[in-house]
Amino acid sequence: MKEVILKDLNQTREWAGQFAKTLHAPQTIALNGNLGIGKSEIARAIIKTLRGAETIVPSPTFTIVQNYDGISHFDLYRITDESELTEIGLMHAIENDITLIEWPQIAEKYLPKDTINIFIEEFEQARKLIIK
Amino acid sequence: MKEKILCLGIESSCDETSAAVVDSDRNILSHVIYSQVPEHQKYGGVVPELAARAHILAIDEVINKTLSDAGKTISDIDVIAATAGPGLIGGVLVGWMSAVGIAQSTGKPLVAVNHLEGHALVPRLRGASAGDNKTESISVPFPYLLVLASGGHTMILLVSGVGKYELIGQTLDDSAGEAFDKVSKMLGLGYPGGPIVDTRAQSGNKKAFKFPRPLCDKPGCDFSFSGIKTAARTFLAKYTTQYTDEFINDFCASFQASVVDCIINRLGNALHDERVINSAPKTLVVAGGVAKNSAIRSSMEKMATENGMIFAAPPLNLCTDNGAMIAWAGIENYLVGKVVTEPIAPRPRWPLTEL
Repeated sequence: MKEVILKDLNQTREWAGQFAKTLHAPQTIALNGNLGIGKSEIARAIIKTLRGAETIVPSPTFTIVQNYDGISHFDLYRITDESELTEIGLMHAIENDITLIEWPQIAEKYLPKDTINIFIEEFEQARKLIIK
Repeated sequence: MKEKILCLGIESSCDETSAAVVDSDRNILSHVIYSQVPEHQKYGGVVPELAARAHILAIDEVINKTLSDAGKTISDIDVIAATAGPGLIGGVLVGWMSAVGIAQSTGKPLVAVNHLEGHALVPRLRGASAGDNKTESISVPFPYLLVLASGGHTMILLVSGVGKYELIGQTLDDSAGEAFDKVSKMLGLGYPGGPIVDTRAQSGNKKAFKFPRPLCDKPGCDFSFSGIKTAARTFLAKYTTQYTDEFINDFCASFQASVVDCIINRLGNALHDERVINSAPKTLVVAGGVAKNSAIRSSMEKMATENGMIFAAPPLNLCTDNGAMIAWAGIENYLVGKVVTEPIAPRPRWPLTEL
């Protein structure tokens, strides 16, 4: 377990960029934390590091999943039934891609053992990441 | 070719199962919208599994009622059109396969409509001039500058013809509709958030809270709404007691003002974009679910007037997802010869620039 304190958006982006460079597919990263805490921001920084700074990374809340040629970015916020996880391509992504999952709770039992779990919390005026 | 073309349009890419019969003279003969919103309200958002299942249960009845309301049978229809993407794939498949089945069994031409194109072209079916108060409606001529804003998308498009869409700007993160939905959820106000926040904002003070205007100090026409959502969360984290009505109204008004300011700021830059200058659109249009918002409409209307342009927006029931816009896009595409000639697969991701 590791803890990181990130004071602002720049530090968040910098950390996520460094973290991105350590990733090799297939690898699942579960992003945990409340609404608006910065899960998408971390996913965005990882994707931009790996796929180019000009890559547009829209929120997957409405579309459920966005794909970036070997990276899959999921938001399971609106999924309420486990049977949907196959239809949206989660299993396929986990086996092949760098897979970033926001609101991962509903998929918990399908996540591989080597999943990197990132918990994002508010910490004084900053964000604290707990990485397991 | 017959003088007047009749099109049956089917939409099922998100909340609504809808169908309409529209003719090429811009008449809506019938329009049925079956909404799943009440089923979604308890979850605070669209639930895909529910969406696909509910579409299957509703679609046959919706199509049959649309035909009977129009006083037509399927043999009277000239063209079948349905949404083939983008959207939640389960829902899209239900509507699309129904359309394929009808087209194959009757031998009628089939049009695969891009859902976003439906929103983009519907102001040509009905573009209520000067908001919603006038009953007269105009058909918006090409070219026009369009803000297309909904739950899944926020973009500025230069529309110069059927299938001719240039992306001038887009959101880099959340859509405008998502910002409304999430702020509504944070305040415990329910789903969909747009109309609720709009109503609350009308009684609130938009200067009560200072929300950021992301990107507004930068050139370009792109949007960013996730910072506004985070600002909302940070404000609300400071309040542990129950929100008063006054607090909620002020909060909604301040939040909404920041979204409106961003749209107007980005549109201002779009008017100076070289492609827009060269095309010289005379009409400023807003479409998509967020186009129902009264503050966005009035601010865009003011902006159009200041720039010597006409403001247009579809009537409220044609802003949110609906079958009439798909039927109309079906007619427009059919008239330029864009019909399906070989089997195609629906596309969950289908940018307007890839038509």
